[in-house]
Amino acid sequence: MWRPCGVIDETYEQDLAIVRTFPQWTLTVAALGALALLPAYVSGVTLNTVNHIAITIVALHGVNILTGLTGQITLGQAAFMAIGAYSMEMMVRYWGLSFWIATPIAMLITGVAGVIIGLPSLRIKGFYLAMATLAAQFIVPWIIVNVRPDLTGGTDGLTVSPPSIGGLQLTSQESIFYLCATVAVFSTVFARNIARSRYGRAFIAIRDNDIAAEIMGIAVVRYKLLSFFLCSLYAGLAGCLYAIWMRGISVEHFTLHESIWYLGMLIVGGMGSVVGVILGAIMIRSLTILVTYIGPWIAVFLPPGTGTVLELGLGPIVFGVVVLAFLIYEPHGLARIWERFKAFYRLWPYSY
Amino acid sequence: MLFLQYLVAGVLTGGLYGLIGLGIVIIYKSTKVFNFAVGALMTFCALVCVALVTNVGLPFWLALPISLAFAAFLGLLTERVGLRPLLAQPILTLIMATLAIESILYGTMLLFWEGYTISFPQGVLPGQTIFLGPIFIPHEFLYAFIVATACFVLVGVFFFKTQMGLRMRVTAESHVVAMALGINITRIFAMSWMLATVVGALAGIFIGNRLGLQVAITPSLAFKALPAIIFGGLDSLAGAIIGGLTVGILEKMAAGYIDPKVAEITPYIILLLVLLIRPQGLFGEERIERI
Amino acid sequence: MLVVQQIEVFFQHVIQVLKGVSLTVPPGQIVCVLGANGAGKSTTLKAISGLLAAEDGRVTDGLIEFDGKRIDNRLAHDVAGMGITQVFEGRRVLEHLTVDENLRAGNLGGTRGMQSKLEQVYSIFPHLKSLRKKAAGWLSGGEQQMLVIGRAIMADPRLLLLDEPSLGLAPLLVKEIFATIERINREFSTAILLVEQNAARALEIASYAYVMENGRIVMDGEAQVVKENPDIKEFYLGLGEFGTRKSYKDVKHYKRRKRWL
Ligand SMILES: Nc1ncnc2c1ncn2[C@@H]1O[C@H](COP(=O)(O)OP(=O)(O)O)[C@@H](O)[C@H]1O
Ligand SMILES: [Mg+2]
Repeated sequence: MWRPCGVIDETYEQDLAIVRTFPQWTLTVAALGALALLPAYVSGVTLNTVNHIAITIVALHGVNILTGLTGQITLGQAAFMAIGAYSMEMMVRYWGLSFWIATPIAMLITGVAGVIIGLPSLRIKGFYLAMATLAAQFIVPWIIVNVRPDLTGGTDGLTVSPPSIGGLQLTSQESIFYLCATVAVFSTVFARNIARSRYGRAFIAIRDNDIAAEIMGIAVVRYKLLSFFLCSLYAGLAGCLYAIWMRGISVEHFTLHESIWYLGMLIVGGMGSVVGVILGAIMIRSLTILVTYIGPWIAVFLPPGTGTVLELGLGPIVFGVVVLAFLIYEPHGLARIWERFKAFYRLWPYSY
Repeated sequence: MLFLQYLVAGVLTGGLYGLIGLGIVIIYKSTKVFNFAVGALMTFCALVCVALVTNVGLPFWLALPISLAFAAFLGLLTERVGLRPLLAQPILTLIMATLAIESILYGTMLLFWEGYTISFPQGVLPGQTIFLGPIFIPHEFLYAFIVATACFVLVGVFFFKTQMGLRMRVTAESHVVAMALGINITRIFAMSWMLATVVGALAGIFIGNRLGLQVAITPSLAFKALPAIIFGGLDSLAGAIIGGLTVGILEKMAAGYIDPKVAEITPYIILLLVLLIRPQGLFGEERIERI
Repeated sequence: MLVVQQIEVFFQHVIQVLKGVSLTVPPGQIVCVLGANGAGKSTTLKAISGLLAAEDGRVTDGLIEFDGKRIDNRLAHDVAGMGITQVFEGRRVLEHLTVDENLRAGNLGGTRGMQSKLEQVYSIFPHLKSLRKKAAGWLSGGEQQMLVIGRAIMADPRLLLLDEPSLGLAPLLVKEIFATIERINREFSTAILLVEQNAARALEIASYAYVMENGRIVMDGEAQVVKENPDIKEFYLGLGEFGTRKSYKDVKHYKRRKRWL
């Protein structure tokens, strides 16, 4: 971890702090305050997008732990989210559990499923593992749709009734926003702490060279599976949030393309960086929204009737181009650009 | 008798999987890049071929070579724009690059063809379904199988009997040694992408003839070829065809004896099993480690 | 034929490895480069053959000429096409290809003259002929060394760059390899730039020698002259100055030693 000059720790508490200097504290409080007041200023449509971003951030933290820190490529995050969402809804629906109890259980279920899918990672790496997770991405929705369609609603999916807290039903985008934002903030703090703990360092050691890590005395098997577990835990949580945000679930929402997009966001944000997760999720999700606004604009110049198609097709194109551009020109992602900006800001007007 | 019917159907589908797998293997063999965009590339080229036949009104025998030329161009473009700048990057970067390309192609296809099912006009391929007693053989698949076999033989001869093929194999072994031996490796990369995309396009065109093409669905057919090549071993040509046939046959057997629904995920279950039991596949090159 | 003038080489724009190296290889001669590990000998060869780029290295200053044409920072396959072939340190055979295919891969042109060239190589290394269908990865160290030299000859080079061909081989094989190098030079009048740790043998077959240290040439001369140099004798040929035991208290000696290694 790099720190600016002049920041000197005098106690262990200081050394361990995430938020360190006075300006940082001010900024953090201001940012959280702004977040809390956000619903008062923006429209419901925008809030809807913000909620989607918050949910994405939660899911993406999982991908970051597994792929960014531990180096195990996953093409199955969306499938894990599906496991979380469906097991939550089934428990609420058929066992009458409340959302607040069902969610942690669903997260655990997803975590265990993640460990099972992670088992091949003990033998294989690289794109072999990518393919194992890809297989999971196809098998999980199939199981959901075909094994007990009477329970899961098959291809139609299920509607999800909004949970309530202390008599208040979480129906409005606003109330869902407070839930999602709180969860996203805590997920971020937790992810940050994992990254800098013993576990995080073990994950990074495995990513950089698993054989060397083994020789250094890191229990590679345990940590790889732990990494899958944590990743799926996040996925399960994100899936539950997604269910109540969408007010319904269907396997259509948890496709391979969704999983690919998570990886892409991680590239754009910056592999292995908690800040990158946030920046990547915001950038890609906002870009797609932007495209839906720009689409009709461009459509003016095209023959009539192509407008809606433009909206459909432009999203994946923009996503692909952005990801490819980042891979080629800034493989460390937005997080690195942010670091450079901070360094520039600190040193200005000097060059170093 | 049913068994025979399933077997024939499996072999014919397996030929297609093998053909798609061949495209992946060609690229992997010379560049060590695993091409996840193969499905989108193949669908794109097949759709172009359909457009040439239905919209432009060209006869099929003329549209075919034009669309194959387009495939070669598309492969070249993909390599130049997407992968050339990323030479010798980590695996994740390469996987992501092919996925990004897949996304771009997917979006572009949506722009032109939306979500409709698009197929060739009836009777583009001469002939009709053949009945051999109780067994019926769709003639489109028979053509596909013959072309697949021909492709395998040609590519095999190319790789193992020609100097250019030898150079591709040298490049696959070691880029640095290849360079020192006077091989222009960037040209090899471009060539293998072109060749692979053409092979993929052939597969796509045959799929289009029999099943129709749908932007959202057809590309994922290519993912069913993944277990085929993993099963056969990633860098083995013979493995691709044998793997393709095995997966095709198992899929049709599952469809016949268990449930057509189970057939949808049979290839992925095979994939997981192979990855768990023998990741290097049946015919993959053994890692030579002398001490 | 080959002229290297004051080249400087940087890796990744910051690591300077060569600090002004000059050397000349006249047509049809064997020239050897001696030097400790990490002196920059391999880097010099890669600078000539154009393979630096593969390791993110560049010739930033000076020039390399082959037959009067500038070849510094040219693409490796162009350089190879001009008649310069490099044999890597550490026997980089193409493991999964057979011996025969390894040799064929060395042929630059089409298949014309392939058979006669193959016969030529097999006549120099008769032992390889019995192994022609075997995967190169399974060959022994000596066989692999023969194979990579044979592969280089297939290209019909006018200048052969050999990087430590005797590394890790048994004495008898070393002798054989050096005899072969001399033979290639004699029969095909190929010029050879030979990098070696085995100074005694290298100086025997070379006509001219350079000694390299820390990215610079620190000594050069006719092989016979270099061989007689007392420092070379002591530090490369392992012959004590007066055949007596050395004392590390001898400050002068220590300084000299430090200069060399
Ligand atoms: N790709 C590279 N990047 C950075 N440094 C390198 C690279 N290749 C070689 N070096 C450095 O250059 C120096 C000379 O290496 P080399 O030419 O291989 O020495 P020699 O062949 O004489 O033993 C060494 O200190 C080595 O660490
Ligand atoms: Mg060396």
